Amino acid sequence: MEALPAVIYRNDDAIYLNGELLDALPENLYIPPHALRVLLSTFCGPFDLLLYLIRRQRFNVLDLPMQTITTQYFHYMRLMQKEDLPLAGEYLSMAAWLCEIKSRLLLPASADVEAEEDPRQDLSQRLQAYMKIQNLAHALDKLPRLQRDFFIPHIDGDESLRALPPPCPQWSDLQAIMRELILRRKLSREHEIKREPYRLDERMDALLRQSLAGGWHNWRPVFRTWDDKQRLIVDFLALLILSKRGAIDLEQQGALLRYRRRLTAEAVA
Amino acid sequence: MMKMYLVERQKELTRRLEAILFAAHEPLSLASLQRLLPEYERSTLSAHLLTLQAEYAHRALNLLEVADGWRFQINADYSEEVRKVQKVQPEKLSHPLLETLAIIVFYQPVTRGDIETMRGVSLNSQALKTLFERDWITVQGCRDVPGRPELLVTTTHLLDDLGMRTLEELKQQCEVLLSSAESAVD
Repeated sequence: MEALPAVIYRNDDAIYLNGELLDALPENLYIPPHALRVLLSTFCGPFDLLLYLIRRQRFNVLDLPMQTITTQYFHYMRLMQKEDLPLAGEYLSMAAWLCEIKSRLLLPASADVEAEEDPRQDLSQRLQAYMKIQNLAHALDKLPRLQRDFFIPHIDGDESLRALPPPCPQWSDLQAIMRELILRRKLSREHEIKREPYRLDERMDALLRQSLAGGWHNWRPVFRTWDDKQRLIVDFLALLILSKRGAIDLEQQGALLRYRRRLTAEAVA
Repeated sequence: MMKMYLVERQKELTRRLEAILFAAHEPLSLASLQRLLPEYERSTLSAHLLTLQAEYAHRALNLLEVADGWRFQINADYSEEVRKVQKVQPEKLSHPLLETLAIIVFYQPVTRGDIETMRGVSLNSQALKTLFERDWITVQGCRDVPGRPELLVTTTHLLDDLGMRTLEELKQQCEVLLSSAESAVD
């Protein structure tokens, strides 16, 4: 049987070497906490972390010691949590996978051993595929690349011809454009709907109350402002309605309009 | 006398090609060169390109054929000098980006899902965006499965930027690098 490589992990403050408790970390294995933090944030995902663990311990991808790998994986996850690194779902899903494989290995082998495949097989295949991708990515990065490793000569001759100096604007053009802009702004002004300051029923009441005093009242519309104009329209409408309802009489006298309370038949008589 | 005239005419064509390729901003294919010099046969142009290439072989400037055609480029041995003049920093590509690109290069056409499965992490959208922006990858059709996911492939522009003529050449070069790295470890 092959000798297991040295396995070192820290569980809280205790340090184990091949399962034996140690007083302190062997000096040549000490990783400064700061370096560890940097290391943790550089993993490209759970596969990357697993591969790192496997490579560091010089394990064989084809013959994974699940117990050790799973323990170390969980240890790193705990460290990541401690360092407040975002633990993405894929790390947790990998943890679940590792646990599943471990538990399946712990089950007593059934009679038809040959029919059952090694539960680690899928994982090691995925790891190998990922390792290949990592290596290819590394090779791809090493290939000479334009703008990093080699360059292309440029003649800017035609470029400079194309880029004529922008024409200097004329003062009169600017004025014309400004005028147009102001005009356009006016055109695009939002249409505002204002609440009517005069209400028809209120004005009808007011006019009727006046007419109650008896006698003819001259209607003297004033229109100096926009406001007056609105009032005029509402008042005129109020007079017409009152007249139609038979509450007042309207009479035109020259340019003026006058009104009075309609007298009942008896009163006229 | 006649012979001298002919030789001069030959040299003239080489010089015209030289001027065109030098001023071009993109690699020029044989077809586009012929559009610019319609009075010549493709085979003639091709022969003159090789002459020109040979003439430049020992200079800092070389004539090369890449995926999209012929272009001049400064020999990588003199990149340090170029960087000094242009004051550019060699850019670094992130690991997720390189891994994503490697998957597309070697397993294309692939879907976004394929990339996620192979890398074991959800897709780094920034990496993919950069690859699209650089015009290194493009969408080519959909896979005929539910959801019809888009299939990603590499472009000739990627090959241009890596100084390659074909995808096979690119893959081969990577494999060579891989095996040399492995033998170095052993």
